[in-house]
Amino acid sequence: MVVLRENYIFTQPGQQAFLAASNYVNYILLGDPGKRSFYLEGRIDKGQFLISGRLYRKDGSMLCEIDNNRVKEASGCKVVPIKPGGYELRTPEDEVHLRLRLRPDENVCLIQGSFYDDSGTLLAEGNERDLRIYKGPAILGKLGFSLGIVIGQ
Amino acid sequence: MRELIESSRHAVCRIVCRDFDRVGTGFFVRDGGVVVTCNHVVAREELAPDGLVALSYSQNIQVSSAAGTFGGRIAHSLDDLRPYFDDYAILAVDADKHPHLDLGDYAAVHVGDDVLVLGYPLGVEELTATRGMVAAKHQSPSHMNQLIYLDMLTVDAAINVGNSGGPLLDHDGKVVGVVTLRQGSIKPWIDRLRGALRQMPDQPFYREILDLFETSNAFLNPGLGEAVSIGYVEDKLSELGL
Repeated sequence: MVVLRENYIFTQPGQQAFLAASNYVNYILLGDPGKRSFYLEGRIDKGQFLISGRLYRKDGSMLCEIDNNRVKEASGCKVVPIKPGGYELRTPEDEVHLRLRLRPDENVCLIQGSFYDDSGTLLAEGNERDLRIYKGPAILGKLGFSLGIVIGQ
Repeated sequence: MRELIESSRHAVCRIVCRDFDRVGTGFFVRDGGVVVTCNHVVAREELAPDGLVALSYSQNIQVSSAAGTFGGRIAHSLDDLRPYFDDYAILAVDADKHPHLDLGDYAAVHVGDDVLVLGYPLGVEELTATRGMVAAKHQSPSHMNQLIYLDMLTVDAAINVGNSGGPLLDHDGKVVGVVTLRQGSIKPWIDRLRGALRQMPDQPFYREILDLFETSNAFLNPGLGEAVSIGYVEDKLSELGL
């Protein structure tokens, strides 16, 4: 398991960034969109926070697919909007699975949640402080061809 | 322009939500009584202290056109948040064979194109037409939720309170956008005053200021208007089989 706390990866205080637990990053990828069922990718493109992913519940069933912030395919998952920007994805049991929340004053997009693959294995989770990655692959920070922290499988 | 207005006016309607005290504009898009308007005309957001939004839709929607007044109901799922994020709503109205507008191609719209706005601004019960030009075509954060980006048109046609939900027509009379808001208006101040009045209804001073703002809003700053791409509505209509 890897625990990440209070890092700035390819970003600086005040710059636009994702806030994954207490880590500021300009890019985050959990899982692998090509090879794995589960993935969550957050990137910044032309000043836009763009999140895509395929999320699974604790029991391994699919929760939903996100394509550039839009919930594309939802298997019973509930979307609760957050002002001024963001939303929570909740299970039918009303458990928060993923929280995306813009903080315009700080120029960040907060990502919180627990992430499982299609067998129900917990891969990563984040709270206010720690981002815990139990199983890779994962990439935190990306600038051109340079990668920040890379966690293998 | 006169012919364009004449050929389109019968398809435009006034939307009144009595339970929410809201008035806006809408337009018929299909033969079978399908009306499009803005989500913020027919829905109400309740904001929890942590920013979570609870959305509720009007239970008393009145749709009035030259053909008469009809009751309207939301045609898409109330749990579907795409219409909320993209600020449109699709209504089902018992008005078969009602004149309707054809949908145009947002991709074919260019900066500098002439456009026409039809609606019922400022509480006026007569259909009002204003014309302008596409001033900008851009992708911007949704005014409903800034995490979602929308294809939008900025136009210099006069747009005011009540125009929301109206059609933005191209030179062929086809709808290329849903009129959604006015740039540079004092609406945020009006909203704050309304909020303050809800909490302190017995404050005549706030009421006077609100009245003054609401009256002068039309004249102080004509501003620019925004319309959301009709493409989002078109996708949802296809999804619903309408």
